[in-house]
Amino acid sequence: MNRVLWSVWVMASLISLTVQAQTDSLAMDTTARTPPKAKTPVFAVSGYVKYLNTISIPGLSDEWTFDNQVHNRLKLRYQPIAGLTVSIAMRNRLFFGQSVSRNPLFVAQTTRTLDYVNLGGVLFREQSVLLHSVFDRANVDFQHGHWQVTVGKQRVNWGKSYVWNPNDIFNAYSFFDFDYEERPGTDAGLIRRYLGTQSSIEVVGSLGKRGGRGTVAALYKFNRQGTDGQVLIGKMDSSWVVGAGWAGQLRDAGLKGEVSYFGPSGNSPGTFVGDVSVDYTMPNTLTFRLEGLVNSHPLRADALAFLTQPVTARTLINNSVSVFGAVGYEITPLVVANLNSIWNIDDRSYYLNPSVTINLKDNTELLVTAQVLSGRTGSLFSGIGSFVFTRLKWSF
Amino acid sequence: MRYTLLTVWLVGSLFPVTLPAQSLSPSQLVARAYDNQNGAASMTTVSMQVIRPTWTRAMSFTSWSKNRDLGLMRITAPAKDKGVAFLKIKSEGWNWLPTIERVVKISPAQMAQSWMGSDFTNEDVLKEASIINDYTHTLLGEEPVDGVVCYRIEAIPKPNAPVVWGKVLLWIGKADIIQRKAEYRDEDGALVNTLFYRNVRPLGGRTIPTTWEMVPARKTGQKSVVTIHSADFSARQPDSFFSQQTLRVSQKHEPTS
Repeated sequence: MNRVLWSVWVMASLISLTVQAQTDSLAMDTTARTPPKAKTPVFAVSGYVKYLNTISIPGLSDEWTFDNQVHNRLKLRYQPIAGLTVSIAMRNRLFFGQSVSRNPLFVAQTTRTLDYVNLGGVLFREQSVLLHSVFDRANVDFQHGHWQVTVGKQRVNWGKSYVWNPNDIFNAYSFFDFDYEERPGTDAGLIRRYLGTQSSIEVVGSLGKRGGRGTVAALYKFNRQGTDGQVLIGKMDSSWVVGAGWAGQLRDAGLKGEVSYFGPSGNSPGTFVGDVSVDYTMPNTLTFRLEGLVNSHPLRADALAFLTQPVTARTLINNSVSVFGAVGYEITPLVVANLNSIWNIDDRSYYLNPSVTINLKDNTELLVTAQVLSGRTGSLFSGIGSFVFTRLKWSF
Repeated sequence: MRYTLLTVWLVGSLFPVTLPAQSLSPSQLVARAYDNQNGAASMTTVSMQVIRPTWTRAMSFTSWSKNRDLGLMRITAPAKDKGVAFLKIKSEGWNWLPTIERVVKISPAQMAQSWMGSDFTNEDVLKEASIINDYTHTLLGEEPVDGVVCYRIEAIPKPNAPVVWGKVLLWIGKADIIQRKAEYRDEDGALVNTLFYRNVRPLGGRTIPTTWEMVPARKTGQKSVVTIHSADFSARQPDSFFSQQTLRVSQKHEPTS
């Protein structure tokens, strides 16, 4: 397995270097105002390389931990004939620093997955270095007329809201994992029929983690009077789930929401999870976002277990009410500042996440951000401390 | 709905051949200028430069439009934004974010926001035909722009029209009914942006301005320049091309005719 990963990685890197040379010349063309090429290539390689520095600060007077990560994503897209697309994406992460050497759970926490088929593994491991590679997308997509079939590792994106997605029953993601921009996928088969320009019906079946039962569900999407709506029904693991979501407007503001009800199964009682979000952008780019999540039967896991485990649509947060508030501002089109916050109402814990993104060049971006987690003793975020991240990203 | 489309089709197809410019009302002039620029349907490849005193950024995109109220746009460069796409159906807009593989609905407030960091707003880009539908038009007189005699037309938003401007002034070439300049003013009448349409030349079988310069009034050294590189006005996508299906996936053979 490791050998396969290694060879794919080396090959893909070589291809991406070649493609980069071509892209560079195209970028120069654009500046010189010659016509950009309109046709989509049959074979496309894209991705990025990121360097991420993390400083973990349990408390100002405690010992700080310094970590580094070089993160490469390679996306390969092959269209042999119109309508048929093969997509493969690979996530390669090289970790080095104190956590690798000192945290005995580091490997387990970093490589944990809910996938049925784990196409990843540790390629290299020394005391202070870890190289992990994983294919998180590997699917074949076929479209003919209004029909679409996608089979393989894919992301089934049923969410409508910004932070929490109770409708995202196949591959929920954690808002805290900001560096996983593409978010996790799932091993699934999808059949979609487009019923109109803004309407579709789809049925998806996914394989659960080994031993799990998987998820089967159908989704109907529609648009009525300026609002996108959706309803879903299915079975997630061993409980029934019904849900609905929408994206519309309230005067000039965006108004979105999702509700899901997960039926009882085993020891878990029937659970209602609902989310509503409002966003408004002022003419001067100042953006406000307010989102609320309620959960009738939150999972009472301890903080560390909760924060290091992959989330599901049923366990998005371990409080019955959580509120998200954010303010964003474009200082210039190249410099964007943002402050995210989460307030857990039950246990009075909170999360603050200021960030500044600086676009250095067309394809190079610098992000400086912090995560401050705190709250009453015993609450979700208490005793976790703060993190400061500096990330340089180059896309190709 | 059918009647609206029929009317649009009639306006678009009959007036250019039946009515001389002199007998057109100001609203018909604006509609004719719009149709002269866009045709009934078009596919264009475009690049844009965002120019600021200390930096510039370039991007490229492919754009499809039909019948004034359908539009689709896909960014082709730079790599960071490649694949990001926009869909317009009437007054609604959607944004496809390939990184997270998600369609996001654009709220009315976001319509007034800068499009991809440029001096154009989402509304300028996605709701261009709003200048015909959401405003009442008055002919103010004639005035030359770059040596071309133009009609000077004032456009005032209709009550409750979902637009951001207080007033728009348009200059439309008297002889060719091609738009040459537009001034966007706020509710107090103060100038916010000026759009210059330049390099009028034949492209794709029509004579159109191939360089558009959006210049903000209150920011010196700042502008966005759009250059149309190729245009195909014979493209006849079905209405169903302007769909969330197309928004999501760029096909190898994107239908162009």
